[in-house]
Amino acid sequence: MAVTRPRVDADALADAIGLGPEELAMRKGFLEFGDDDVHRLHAMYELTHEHVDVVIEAFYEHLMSFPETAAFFRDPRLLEHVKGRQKEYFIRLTQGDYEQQYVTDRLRLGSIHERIGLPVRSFLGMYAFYLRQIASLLLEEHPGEPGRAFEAFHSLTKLLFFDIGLGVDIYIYQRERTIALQQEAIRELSTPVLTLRDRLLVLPIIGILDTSRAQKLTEGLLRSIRESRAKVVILDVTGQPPAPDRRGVAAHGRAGDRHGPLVERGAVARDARRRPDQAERRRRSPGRDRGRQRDHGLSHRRHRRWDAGGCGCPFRSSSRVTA
Amino acid sequence: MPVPILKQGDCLIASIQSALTDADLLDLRDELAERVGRYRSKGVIIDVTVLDVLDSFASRTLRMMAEMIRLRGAETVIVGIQPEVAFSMVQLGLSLDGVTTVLDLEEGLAHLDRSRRARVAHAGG
Amino acid sequence: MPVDDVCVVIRSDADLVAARSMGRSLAERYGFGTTDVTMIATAISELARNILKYAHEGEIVLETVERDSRGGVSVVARDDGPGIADVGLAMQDGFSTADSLGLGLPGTRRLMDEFEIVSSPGSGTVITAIKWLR
Repeated sequence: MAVTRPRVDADALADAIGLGPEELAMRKGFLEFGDDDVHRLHAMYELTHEHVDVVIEAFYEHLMSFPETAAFFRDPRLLEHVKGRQKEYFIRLTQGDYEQQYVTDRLRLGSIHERIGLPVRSFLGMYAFYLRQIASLLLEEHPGEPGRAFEAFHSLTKLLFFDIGLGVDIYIYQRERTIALQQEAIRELSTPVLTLRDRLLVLPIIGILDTSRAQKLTEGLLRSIRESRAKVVILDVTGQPPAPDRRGVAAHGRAGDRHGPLVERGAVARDARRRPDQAERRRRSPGRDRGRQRDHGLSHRRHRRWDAGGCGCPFRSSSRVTA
Repeated sequence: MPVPILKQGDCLIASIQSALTDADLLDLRDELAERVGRYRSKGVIIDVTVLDVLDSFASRTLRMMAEMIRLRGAETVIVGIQPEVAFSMVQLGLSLDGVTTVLDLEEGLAHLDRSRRARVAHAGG
Repeated sequence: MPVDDVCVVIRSDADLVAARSMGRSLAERYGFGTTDVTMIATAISELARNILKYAHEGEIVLETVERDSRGGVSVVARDDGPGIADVGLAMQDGFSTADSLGLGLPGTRRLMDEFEIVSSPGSGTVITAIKWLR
């Protein structure tokens, strides 16, 4: 479902993902990316500067030869814009100073790719392409010294893996934001209670029914019952996924009973014919479906805590409290 | 504060006006059981519209009331359970099984009306 | 929004009505919707009722709370009664339903968002339940 995702300023992105100085230092440490690597990369600057146009043009030619990726760059202005950014980025790889600003720039580029919907495999393919191109350039640059070429290549590999990490983080972060917005939108979706006939209501239950939404729906339904003085309510659960929050739907039914009208699950009967797997599940476990209950203790003194994960009760006595 | 109980034909209508203590509920229970006998009522309506909480004691007592009234030959109808109260009762796991519940007083009287006609038809047939 | 915290002593069934009413009032003023207000009041009623039944005397403390920029109402039911020997068992659904003569704790827990019991024989009971504003 389409949701509008507000743009996040690139500078704010680093904060949003938690990429502060400590995190960056940790990642570099993990990749064993140190000053030696920085020097070797810096030494490659002339080389990359000389060949940047050729490499980038070759890269985009490669991209555009695949219809799936060409589709993303049909707009020539977008293509030129991204090429420009890529050239800057390519040169930047060997400029040294891989600190906060470098990260912000990398995140910005990744953001553009994610926004236009470029698949992860494509941007990973980009890195593979760079490595191939630069590998051949390095071998030409250091003839007879494959060891040196390899060391330089190794440093570049470390940096590119650092970059890939940032790119993936951007993708994940933006995807999670989209999911959160969609979930919110679904929650807000007001499920209309339809009046089919005089005093007959239909409530189609669409989408995922979490506890808070179930409560909202129930409240709306009960109020409608009162307003229309309905005698029969049909809960249409055909739109529910195979393992619904049974308690949510069942509670609907019971709460409706309390209020007077007979809550008829006629729709479920129809549903059973089409989705036998649902009907089977309902038959097998008719009663309470506890789900997961997580309680957050407020104090940590000697006490018992209700924990759905299974509590080890040292007191095995079954005596109940009697007054 | 005692709950006013009105007599309307062969029906009694207990209209709860304010929050009740446990003792008040028990008094109501006994009062209704007594009056059903005295007036030979066939139906009792308990209007709980005003009650903002129906907890375990209340639901137990209402069920008990219905049973006692049934033993005295009459039918009980609870009217006016508010949506929030219905919701909370279900969450709490309470049930009013075996007790007729309807939306409001009008419904309650209509229900007892139908029961009366069914009785008459049955007796006549 | 500043709202008064309150402590209701539970000693008679009239106090149950008072505790419910205070709880309702606090929750309403704090901004809870009608359904949530009723859930809180019902939970208070059940917890206070347990105090009366098993300990004969205790207190219900109603407070507003804040955590991670979320606001809510906390209900603390405290007594020096006999305590609960097996809390795990008492919290088991189906074992002790509100309708039966048990403690009705699983149901009460469902009315609230967070629930903690501190209790053992001879040491009384403290139950803390919190409901957060949506």
